[in-house]
Amino acid sequence: MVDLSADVTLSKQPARVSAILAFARSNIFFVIAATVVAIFVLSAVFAPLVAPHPPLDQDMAAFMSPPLTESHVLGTDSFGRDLLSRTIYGARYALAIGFGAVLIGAMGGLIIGMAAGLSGGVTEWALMRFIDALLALPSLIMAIAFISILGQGVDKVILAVGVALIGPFSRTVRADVLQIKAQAFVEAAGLMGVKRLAIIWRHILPNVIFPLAVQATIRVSYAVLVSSGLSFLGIGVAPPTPDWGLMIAEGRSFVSFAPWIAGVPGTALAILLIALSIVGDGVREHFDPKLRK
Amino acid sequence: MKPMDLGAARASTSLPAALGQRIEPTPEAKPLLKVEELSLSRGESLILDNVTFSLRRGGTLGLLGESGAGKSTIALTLIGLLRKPEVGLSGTIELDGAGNVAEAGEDAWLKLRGRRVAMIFQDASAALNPCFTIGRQLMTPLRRVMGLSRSAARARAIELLESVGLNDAPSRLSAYPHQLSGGMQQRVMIAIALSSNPDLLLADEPTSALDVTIQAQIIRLILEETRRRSSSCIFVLHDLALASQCCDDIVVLYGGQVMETGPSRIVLEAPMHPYTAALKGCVLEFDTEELKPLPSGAPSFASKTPGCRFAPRCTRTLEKCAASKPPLADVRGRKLACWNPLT
Amino acid sequence: MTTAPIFRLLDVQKAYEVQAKGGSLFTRAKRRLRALDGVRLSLEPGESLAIVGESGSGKTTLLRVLLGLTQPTDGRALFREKDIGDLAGTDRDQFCREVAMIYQDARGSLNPRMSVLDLVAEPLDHHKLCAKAERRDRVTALLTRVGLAPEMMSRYVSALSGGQLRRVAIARALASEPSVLVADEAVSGLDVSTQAQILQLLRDLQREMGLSLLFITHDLGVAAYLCDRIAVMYLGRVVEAGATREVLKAPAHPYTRALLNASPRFFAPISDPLPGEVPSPIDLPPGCRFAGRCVRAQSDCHTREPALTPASPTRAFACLHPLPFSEPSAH
Repeated sequence: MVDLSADVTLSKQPARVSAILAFARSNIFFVIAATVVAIFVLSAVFAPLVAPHPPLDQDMAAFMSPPLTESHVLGTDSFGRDLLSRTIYGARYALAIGFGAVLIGAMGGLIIGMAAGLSGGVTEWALMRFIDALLALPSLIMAIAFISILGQGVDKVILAVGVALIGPFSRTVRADVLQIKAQAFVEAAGLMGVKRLAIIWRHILPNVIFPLAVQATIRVSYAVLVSSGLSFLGIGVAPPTPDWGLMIAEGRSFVSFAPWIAGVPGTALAILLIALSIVGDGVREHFDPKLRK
Repeated sequence: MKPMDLGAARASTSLPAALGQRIEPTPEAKPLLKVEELSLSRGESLILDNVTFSLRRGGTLGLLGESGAGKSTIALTLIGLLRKPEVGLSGTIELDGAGNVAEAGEDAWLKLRGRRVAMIFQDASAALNPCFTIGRQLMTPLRRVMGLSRSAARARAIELLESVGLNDAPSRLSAYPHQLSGGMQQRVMIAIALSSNPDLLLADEPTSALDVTIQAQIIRLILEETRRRSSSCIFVLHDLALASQCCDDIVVLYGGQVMETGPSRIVLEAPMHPYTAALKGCVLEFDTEELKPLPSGAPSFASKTPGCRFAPRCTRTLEKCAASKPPLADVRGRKLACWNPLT
Repeated sequence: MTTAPIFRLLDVQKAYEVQAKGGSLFTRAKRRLRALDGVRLSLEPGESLAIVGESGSGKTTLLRVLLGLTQPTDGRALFREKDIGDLAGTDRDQFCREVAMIYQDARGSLNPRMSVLDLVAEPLDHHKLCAKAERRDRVTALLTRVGLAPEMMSRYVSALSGGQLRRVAIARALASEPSVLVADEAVSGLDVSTQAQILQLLRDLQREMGLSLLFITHDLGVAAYLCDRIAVMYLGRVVEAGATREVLKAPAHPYTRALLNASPRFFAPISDPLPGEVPSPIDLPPGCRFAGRCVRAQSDCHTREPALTPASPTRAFACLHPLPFSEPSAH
């Protein structure tokens, strides 16, 4: 193994630039995907500045116009609303729901997974059965069930998808906790006399958070997909919110003669999901080998 | 086994050749293996740099060095597991009767591997397939490579297991690797490797994972079995004392370059290369009072470095050491690559 | 007044119940696996002791008993004359501070998410050994002492080599200002040159700081270099103990002799190795546990179990027919 000795000097400016270019060259898909995600995120954040029209504005004179009509680059839908603007605003909802749901799922999974991994005896058994119950239902079905209890709306969708993700997250967290618990450095801390709670906080938690963050990155695309699915089915966000799933559903009836109404949001969704998946995979590949020895 | 006389330290002479004694080669004998100017590169790194050595029939050779020196790389190249185009390879590996195997393709290697060249690895538990019984792993090459029938293969397998010292061989055939101890697993691996009577056996740190008393058994077994079959053996080792005990000739490697090579007695008794001497100084004998450790550092594998790779850590380094690589020259019964050797 | 030994093991036994073959379909035969079977050992202040054994000798279990990670099923394990298992409160804190462990797997024993600074400072913080302001200076001093550049402080475990990690582990062990260093194969798996450096460091530290050292190893050369005293273990018992140089020059127990023969030495021809393998500790036959492999075994060896008896102030062994050790051997 080549030794990284202490006297490796930090790169100077030209070397840094060439290092970035070298990284880009060998991970070209990752870079493209990351750029795409960045574009989506920025457009979502600066939507009012980027979108040519307000998303709810109806231009009845130009309804159902195909793409490349003047002032409507991607066409309009059956209400005359500009598709480009609605797609850009739709990115807001997709990303907000995606990240929000994953955040809820990760937090819940962290708590339950840590409790299951660190406790013993009956508590562990009970928590394991609870996680099994959570995992028994597919996330989509679970989200539908929660929506039926909570009602429609963006915040309800975030909550529903988030809770549905708690099961998978707690499973990975528990597995990580068990693996870390068995490591020598945890025993070493115990030998030093460090109390149990301090060991959990200082040694176990930091080593759990990291793989959890990697998992979360991967699951964002799934959360986006589930939420779009809910909206498509009509039980997600309520119209006239410019949500992609909803837009695809609205464009369903016009597919044969105005395919762009469903096509534009559909393509945007597909591109975002692929890009998120590639970024998630790339992040995992970069960090996992060092963690999973 | 002959009863041990624990007071005496000499080996028994019931072996074909007393261990530790050199077999003098016949002058005309063509070497079994001749490696010349072997260089191996992976991307920007030059992992092996002009490695040259030869091995005669029936002899044992030790590839000695620390981790990262390239010894396992050489072993993997010699069994065709590292080949073009996955790695950049230049130089020749002349195997008697097979030509230059450095150029050989996979089809040529399929005929050599497991038949003329065999290898045993450091971690037997990882090298044996945990899903199959010992019998199956032993009999598969016997049936496929040697073409034996099922019953003939089974009989031969039992013979082989007994020859490597595993008693109760028939029941071992139906055992799984995890049911055997580390020493027994290693014996099974040796049996598999030797089943085709290969001309060349490569042993990559075969005993590093074993207890020291088992280590002695295994080394002895390898030497006895290879001598009995007139096979040659190349050991990859990091233990100089062990190398002095079991190898006729040794090659001392550092950073993929050959530092010193020759008969082990000559090289290890009076090393001339500063690296060999430094390594020897780190070996602990029971009465070692002071250790003389090498300064820290690791070799650089960049292909552009022109000189001797040991120069940064060498206490006898001269100006030209970093500038140009010293050639391997015959000096006092060995080959040495050094501008400023010990006298 | 004689100072009390730091560690004392009095006929310590550690047995596990295992399910062995045998018994009917409804009852499962339970056998006792004696990982430690009557160990008698002591470590004096300032002394360095090597525990030498192969796999199955019980040295790992011994270590766990000494560190309080497991309790003996019989006998007493004492730290400064107090039962290790009963230590609580300030006694326990003192034990944790005074006994520092260096693991075999240096990389695994260091939290990969903590910087070297945090790793070495953790004992300082935990035992409240220095003020916040001095923390960095203390760590610098410790790193320098073990031969690491202070700039390494900001690095993480994944960026360090095996040798460097050992040094970090040693610095961390020293941080709590211990009186005993316990090392479990602390130099195995290292290159010979790195091993030499670490051994030299450990010996210097031990001598300079007057530390007691308990070093578990399978390598007799390491034991000879580092430790004044040696205890050879076989199947859960100490079979020979004494001053290292004396024992290795002229061993009394045939197992020690076999270990010596098997250790590679320059140009020594490979002598006849010890036959067979370590028997299973579950079904130990009566008599001396080494009798099955011993060439010198006689009839009483198979019936009487020898106890560890002192033969001189510096030597003890457990053998009914020991090798003659008063005269130096051919080695």
